[in-house]
Amino acid sequence: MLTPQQRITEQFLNELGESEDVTAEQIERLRALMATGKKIKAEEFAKVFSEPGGEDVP
Amino acid sequence: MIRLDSAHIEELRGIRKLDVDFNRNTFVVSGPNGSGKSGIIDAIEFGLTGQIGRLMGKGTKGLTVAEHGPHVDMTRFPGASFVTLKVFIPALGKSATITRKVSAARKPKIEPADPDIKAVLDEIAAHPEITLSRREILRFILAEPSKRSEEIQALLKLEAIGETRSALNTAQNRLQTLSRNAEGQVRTARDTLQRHLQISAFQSSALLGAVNLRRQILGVAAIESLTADTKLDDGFGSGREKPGLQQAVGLT
Repeated sequence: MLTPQQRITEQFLNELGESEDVTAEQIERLRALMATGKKIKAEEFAKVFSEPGGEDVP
Repeated sequence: MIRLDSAHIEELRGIRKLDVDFNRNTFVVSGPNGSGKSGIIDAIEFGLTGQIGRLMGKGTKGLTVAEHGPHVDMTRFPGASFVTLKVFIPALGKSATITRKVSAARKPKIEPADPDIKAVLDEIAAHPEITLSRREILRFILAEPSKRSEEIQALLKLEAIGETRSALNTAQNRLQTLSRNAEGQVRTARDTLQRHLQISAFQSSALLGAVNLRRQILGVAAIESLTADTKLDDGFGSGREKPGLQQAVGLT
């Protein structure tokens, strides 16, 4: 039986996964981060969503 | 559901040593003010969950089980502060003994080491709303309507969710600022490159055409395609330039 916290986290990640702006890899990184049970800093979240440098010229 | 057979409490909160037999019945604790009635409830909660609700939530900043769980005369000896509960789990038809020390609040000793019994106790520990104390119930009932959602959050121990949401909001704000700055830098870099190469549109075909024209003049192989890793000066300084160019730029 999931805890209320786990249920909320899972629903959040499922809804986030429906967004086209978030990749499956980012979802999994978020899931791993939020499963630690520790307090998560804003920097750690920002790192997940930071794109690598270099964009192709159209 | 769990039925309490008995509790043995030592050096926890205001209780030095106490044995209580519940015999699996609903019970009432009565006594004068300050005699330790709430301490018994704290001990039962601590034994089952490792937490003491009175030391958490609004108005309890700075209070911890580790520091404020032991009796005031034993704060330096948290290992001496413990609770032993003998319980019966009707759904399993099994009895168990749970011993939990303040010094190891998250690691109770459960006998027998039965996985089914452990699963039930883990579920209780993970669902604080199952072990509501009178104090928590009263706080919720007496809360102003506008504060009820906060009280629900406190009852369900969802503070961590609030902290996570706050961290996500902060991360979003920082990323938006970084994104705006990066967009400005990209625009500047593109304008500069466009100006230097004297091209009207920032398209790969126009860019490659202008770069390869210059590379041809300098005797360096053309670049076939543009990717994020392409270096427009690839091949320079490798000795593959035209001899005259090498002398002109002092490479030889």
